[in-house]
Formats: sequence, structure tokens, C-alpha cells
Amino acid sequence: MEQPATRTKADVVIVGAGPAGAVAAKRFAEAGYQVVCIEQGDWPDYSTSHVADEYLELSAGKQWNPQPSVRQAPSDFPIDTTQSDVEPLIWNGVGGSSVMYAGIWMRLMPSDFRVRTLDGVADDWPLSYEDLSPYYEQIERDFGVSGFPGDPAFPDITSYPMKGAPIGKAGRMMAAAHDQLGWHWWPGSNAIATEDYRNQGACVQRGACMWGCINKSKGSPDVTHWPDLLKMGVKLITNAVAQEIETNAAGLATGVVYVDRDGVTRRQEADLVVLAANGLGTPRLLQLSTSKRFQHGLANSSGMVGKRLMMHPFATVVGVFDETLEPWKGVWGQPIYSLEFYETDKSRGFVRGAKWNVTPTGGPQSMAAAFPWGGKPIWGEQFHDTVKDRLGRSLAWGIVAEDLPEEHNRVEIDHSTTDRAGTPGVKMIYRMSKNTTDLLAFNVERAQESLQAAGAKETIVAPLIRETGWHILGTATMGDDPETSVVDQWGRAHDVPNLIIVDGSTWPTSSGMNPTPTIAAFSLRAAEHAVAERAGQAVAS
Amino acid sequence: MSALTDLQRARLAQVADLFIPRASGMPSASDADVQGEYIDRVFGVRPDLADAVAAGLAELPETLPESFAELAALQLTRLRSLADAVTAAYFLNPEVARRVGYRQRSVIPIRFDEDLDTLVASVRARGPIYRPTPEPGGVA
Repeated sequence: MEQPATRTKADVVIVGAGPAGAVAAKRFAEAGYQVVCIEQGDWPDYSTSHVADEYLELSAGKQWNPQPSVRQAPSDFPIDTTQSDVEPLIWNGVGGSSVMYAGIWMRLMPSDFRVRTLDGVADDWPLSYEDLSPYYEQIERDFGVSGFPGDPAFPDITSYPMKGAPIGKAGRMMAAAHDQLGWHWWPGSNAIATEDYRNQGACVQRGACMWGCINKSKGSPDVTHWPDLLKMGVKLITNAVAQEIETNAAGLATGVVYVDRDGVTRRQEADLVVLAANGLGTPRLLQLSTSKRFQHGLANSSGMVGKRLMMHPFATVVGVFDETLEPWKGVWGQPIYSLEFYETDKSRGFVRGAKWNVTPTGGPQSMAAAFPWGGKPIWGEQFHDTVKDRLGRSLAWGIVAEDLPEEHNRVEIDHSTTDRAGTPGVKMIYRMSKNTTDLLAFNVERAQESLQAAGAKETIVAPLIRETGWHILGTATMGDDPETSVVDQWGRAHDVPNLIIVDGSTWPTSSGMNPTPTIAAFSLRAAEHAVAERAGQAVAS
Repeated sequence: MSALTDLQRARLAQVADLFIPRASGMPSASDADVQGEYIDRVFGVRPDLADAVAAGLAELPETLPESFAELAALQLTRLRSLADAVTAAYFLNPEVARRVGYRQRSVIPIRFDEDLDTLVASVRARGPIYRPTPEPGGVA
């Protein structure tokens, strides 16, 4: 059933209400634009959270699981991963995947923007760290970030909006080990409010940030942005599946066709179309938006839409100690991090590097899990002794590896499946490169040394599992050359002057950092530029 | 949610004790009533597990082996799901939770670290570890 409905033309229509979309919506609304946001999911329902009761670990296995194929929510679209080494972890709804992220907050380092110049691989970004730095500062205020300034791994982090959360016993132990080794470490920075701050409540250290933060301490846009945006007049349409970006004969975007919660097909016209649907959703929508003029999908004259998928494979190394660490008594996020092995050292046999952060190992149920413990199941005679050894006495280094772009890693439309609105799903084709494999192996060895220096009586290298695809990047890459990239440094599509992409799909390289801060800062910079250039903006009449 | 039959509960008690036997001063799974109140509580939060448990029970051989090792050697496809559900039910028992020292997360107001400047002194002393943005056309 198709109805014209929603005839009111907006100044800007945004697809996706996660961090990228929320940041753009805020900047446009502040500048007086009439903003409509189309979001395929609903608001997170914190009433289903079990962070304050004994069912936390059970709920993490289903309702609050970040893997769409496990959760099977109505807002999730089909993703064929049979040809992927990694499963995507995303949440579709208001706040986006940050509703389920740990809140770990890391800027990129200057070298991340100059990979070609410095290391001779992949591509430089068409913007620099210095270009983004002032936007990081604004975004850190908007997401309620806490941390300890002055890390010598960055040029200019001189303040955070709030003091950092306690680094805890685990953080202190690993900090001492790294001091002994002469290796970098720093108190963790997290999008976690450590005091009452704007819409956020002070963290109460349940260590359950990823499974429904009922204190609203974690900086996800359903808390930090959307309540205020609604008051500012931004129109948020939830449970609405975007199906196509329409264009006119001149090749300008005219609006977005979507299916609403009742199954009715509607059209939201706008002067500007902003895509913030993540590294899967954005190429999906571009590839679905074919026309006589754009036969291979919108904004795809370069042929790069969907290609260069980067996934940040993770490694985890666990240390088991004699000391009681009680890691559930603190923030989950990151108590401390290390960038000792982040920059390239070509003598290692690979380029680029990885970021590490201390991470808890969970409650009693987690002690029997295949991840991160691997190896033989613990059940049987040794069950109780193994639980006693691990529970409250273990911690892990989580290792985020930089993944370089390769054109054969890609996202394609899968016409054999459809979502609830009848829109085709996607297929991921992703294989880890040798550089990434070597990089992970090196860092895993160093992480074992780190834990041993801290006194671990046992170290366990977690199996490389598929369920680690938190960071989905690169599938609408940014660059100066329209023949090899999809958008310019402002997120503006080379082929469609009034189409702006503001999510992680724009990244030319992946860095080895948790990407949300940079996605948000890039979105703010892109929106700021669009506002500044409004007078000369080409729009469909 | 489909509740288990008495026969299924009896079967669950038997196999659960292979997963979690009475040992090291801890109760077995059946001692902890995994097959009764606590598996029902699991299903209350995770109704999707009811079918997995029923299927796991149906897959078991008529005569159970003597040990978990022998059971695992049968390579039953649903054994892991069954073991996970039993483990979840076991730790829901308050007495078990008391003995392992964990029942649920508690509220702990933040007390900021006041010694961070001292703690990071050696990191700062080693100086910057980042590579600055190179000048256009050159390597820094």
C-alpha cells in the first residue's frame, strides 16, 4: 500500500538515529533547519534491562545481545554472513549501536589520517587530525565523556568534561606491570558520566554498560541527544524502513522513500539527504537506490559503494590471578588502555598496530563460556575449582587491530532475503588479511607478556571468534578523487551534491580505535560545513 | 514457554549432575534444584531456551554415561546449550550465589582516584609516542 502522506518537505532528512545521525540532527536543528529523521527501529526499552538483578548474564544472551541474528528483533534486517570471517554486531533503533557499546572513547591518532604518507599503504584521509580536533572537543561534551587528560599518545587532549571513573584493582595492577615493562598505559576515557551531567546520571559501577544502562550514565544518543532534539522540533519517525533515496532528472536527491510501522510506503521530501545508517545500512540503501541515471546504485560512479569493508577483528588474552579483583565492581568500558603497540614498526613484519584495553571477564555464567576461555569445556569434576579460579580473579586485554581496506571485502544486496518491509537484505564478504593476522599474533604475544609481568598464574589466548564485528567501516569511502571515492572530506557525495554521508562507511582506513568518537566528530564537521555552505547548496526544486 | 514434564525434570536432574557434580564443598546441580525452580526461572527470562533444553534432553542416550567426559565424547549437538542452561540455573540458586560470592551487580558510588598524576608520572616522563601529522608532500 502506498500513500503520498508526509507531503511536507523538510530542509533535511536523515536516515539513522544513531550517533552519526543524532549529531547531524543536532547541528542542523541548531541552525534552524527543519529536520526529519527516519529510524528503522524503536527506542531502547530499558524496562527489559536486567543489570540490577541476577538475570543479567541470561539477558545478555538474547534480548541484549548485540548480534542481530541472535536477537532477531523486528527492526533487524537479514545479513548473510556465510562468506564472512566476522559477524556484525549492531543495534537498530534510536541511539544506534551505541545503545549496546561499552562506551569506550578513543580519538584517532594523527598517523591514522596519513597511512599512505607514513606507512606506504592504503590511503590518506582527505582531512587531518588537526581538522577534526575541535570537533572532538565538542562531541566529548555532547556525549558526556569522562577521562584523565594529558595522554602523551595524543597531541592535545587537555581536558575532559568529567573526571574519569576509578581504574580499579585490575587497572592498577596492569598499570604497574606496564610501568615495569616501560610500556604505555593511560587511565581509561569513556562515554560514561561520573557525575550527574545534562541528561545522564552518575555511573554506579555495576559493570554492565552493554546490557541496558538503567542509570542513563552511558553516552548514547537516545539519552544524550534525542530527548533534547525532540524538544527542538526535530521529527523522529521510528520503525520506518528506508527503501530508496529518490533523485530527479538533474541527479539531485529529492527525498527518501520509507515503509512506516503500519506497512505503508511513504515519501519524505527534503532539500538535503543525510545518510547515517552505518557501514552496512548506508551501502545497502545506496545500492537499492537505482535509477536510469544511477544504474549501479546512487553515488556509485566510482564503483566503490559497498567495497573496502573493514571490520576490526578483535583478540582477547585473559590472565588468571591469585588476587581478588572483583571486576564487576566498576565501569565495564575501559579502566585503562595501552597504545604501546599502536604505531607502525616495520621490523615486526607488518604495518600499523593495535589498541589494548583492560576488560572484565564477567560473572559466574561467563566462567563456563567458550569465549574467552576456549579449550575444553569446564563441566564435570573440575567445574567448581575452575569457577573458583576464574571468578573475580581474572581480567583480559581486549585488542582492537587496525584492518586495512581491500576491495574484495564488501557488502552487497542479497535479493534472496527481505526484511519486514520487503526490502532486500545484505550479504557480507569479508576475509581477514595476512597483515591483520600477523598484527594480531604479535599483539597477542605482547599481551601475554604484559599479564605475566602483572603476576598472572595462567594466561589464556581466547579463540578468534566470529562475533566481534562491532566496527563496520569503509563501505562508502571518502577521498578527493571522484573516480576512486564516494564522498569528499565533508561527507558530500561526489555524484550527488545534496547527499551527505556522515557515518563510519566514509572511513578510508579503519585505525585501531573504537570509532564512535570519530564518527560523531566527522558528522559534526560535515553538518557544520553544510550549514556554512547553505546559500550555495544545490537542491532539487 | 513450554514447562518441562516431570519425566524431563528427572532426566535434567540426572544429566545436570554430570555437568555440575557435588564436589569441592559445593552442591551438585540437582542439590541446587536446577531441575525445578531454577530452570523455570531461566525460562522466565529466556523462553527461547525452553525448546533448546527439551531438544537437548531428547538427544541424550537412554542410559547416561558415568561422567561428563564420557558424555562429551558422544559429541551430541545440543549438549552445549543444555550445559549453558543448567549453569545459568545453578548460579540463580541464592545459596550457590552466596558460596561463590556473586549474585548480582550492586550500586557503588564513584570515589575518584586522587593519585593519578603520581601513577602516570613514568608514562609522561617517557614523552610523546605519537607520530605527528606530516607536512603536505613529506614524511614527518
